[in-house]
Amino acid sequence: MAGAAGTAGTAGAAGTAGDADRRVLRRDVALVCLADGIVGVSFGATAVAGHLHWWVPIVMSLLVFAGGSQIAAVGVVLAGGGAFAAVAAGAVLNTRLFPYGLAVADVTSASPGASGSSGVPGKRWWLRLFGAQVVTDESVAFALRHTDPARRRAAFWTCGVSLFIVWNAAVLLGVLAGSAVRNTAAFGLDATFPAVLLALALPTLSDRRTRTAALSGATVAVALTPVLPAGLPVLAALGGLATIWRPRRRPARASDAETSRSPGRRPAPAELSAGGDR
Amino acid sequence: MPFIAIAALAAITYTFRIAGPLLAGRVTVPDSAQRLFASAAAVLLVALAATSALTTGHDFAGWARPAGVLVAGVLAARRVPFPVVVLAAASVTALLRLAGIHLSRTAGADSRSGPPSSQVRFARFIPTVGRVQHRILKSVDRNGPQRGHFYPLSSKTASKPLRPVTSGTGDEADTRCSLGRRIRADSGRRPAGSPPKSEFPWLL
Repeated sequence: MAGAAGTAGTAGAAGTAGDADRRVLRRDVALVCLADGIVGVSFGATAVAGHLHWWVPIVMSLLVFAGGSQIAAVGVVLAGGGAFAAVAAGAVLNTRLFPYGLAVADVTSASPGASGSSGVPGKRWWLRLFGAQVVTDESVAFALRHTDPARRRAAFWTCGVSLFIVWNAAVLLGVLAGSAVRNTAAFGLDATFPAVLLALALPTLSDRRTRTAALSGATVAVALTPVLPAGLPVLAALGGLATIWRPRRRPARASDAETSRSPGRRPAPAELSAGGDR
Repeated sequence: MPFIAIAALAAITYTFRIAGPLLAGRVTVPDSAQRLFASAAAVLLVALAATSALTTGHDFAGWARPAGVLVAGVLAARRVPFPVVVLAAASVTALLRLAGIHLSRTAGADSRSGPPSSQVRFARFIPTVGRVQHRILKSVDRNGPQRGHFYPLSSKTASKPLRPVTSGTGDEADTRCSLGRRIRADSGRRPAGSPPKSEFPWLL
């Protein structure tokens, strides 16, 4: 997915090449949809094979529509955790959608077909509402690749709507497959959840302090898994964030923090999304 | 998972989503807060990845799954396309299971007929935790089950054991401490002729 983002970033050079531009956009969106579709199938199959009701992953995909948090919440529930822990884990993961929304606020309100550079924000309230629903890592990353408002809007809506359709269809397919296949363990489907989560987290781990926090949090979570009720270890991992906030009173500390920050990058939305959300 | 939980998660998620467009131009998220969001998300993702790769319920999940996840992680770090990463995780795990590296580290016929205690395997896996657990288990064995319910397993788990246990042992320890029960169930109480079903079907 990261590769797809890289190739297309160079493609839209000239404004005149609208057709080629659109083709590149479609190709990249298709690649992203393919990736997310695979994850969606595995999500649906995993949830059903874990004895959740068939409608749970389907309704969740329609209403929540955020792959990472869906997988997280269902993962917590399948591990035996309570609903509160599941919702909390999913909600924490989705806090990033707020800055995303700020970043693409100019394009969520108008449809791709709207002519003119500024669109018609606010005219159709339901489009506004739906535009917010399709704010995802991927659609935001596509939108942020362009500076021209019309192209931003086209990228955002093409990606957002296609993903919404593909993701929900894939989850439905996964539910059907998961209900049909009894022994899903033989296909190694259970390894796809952690693999997806890891791939989602990897881009942000280039920041040293985030990496430290994440690794210590993961260690805490794994160590606590045998002794705590399911769901809590993952939330306890948030204690790993404590490694980030160091007192900076002493000058030595301050300079240390400064140097450690300079090579590390602040994860921009586009970077966060490099791995894709679903 | 009850519908109310899904609805709650959906409402919270949508609030985060709609807040951006609604508040655009009026608020800016400070860099520090944005960093904190990003770090919190990374911490949760990695912790979830680690626990769901390594554990099932309260126990070690066996080697096949973490191996698949590890391969996927390496591929993802090398910027291999996402679909390949996901498929690699599944196929490595599936192939390892096909090869018989099912749940236990001791390969061969043993892995088919039933793995050794998952707790013991977990203990091997994380030495520190393992030592503590062994000490606790030892003290249970020596002092008897009357020492009580010291191991904070949830009641749900305690009442629904993860692995098939030979029933009818009538041991107090069985009801008190599921750890002790697991260890003991594995240490020779199983009838020789009936290998246990493959437990841990595959749950995350």
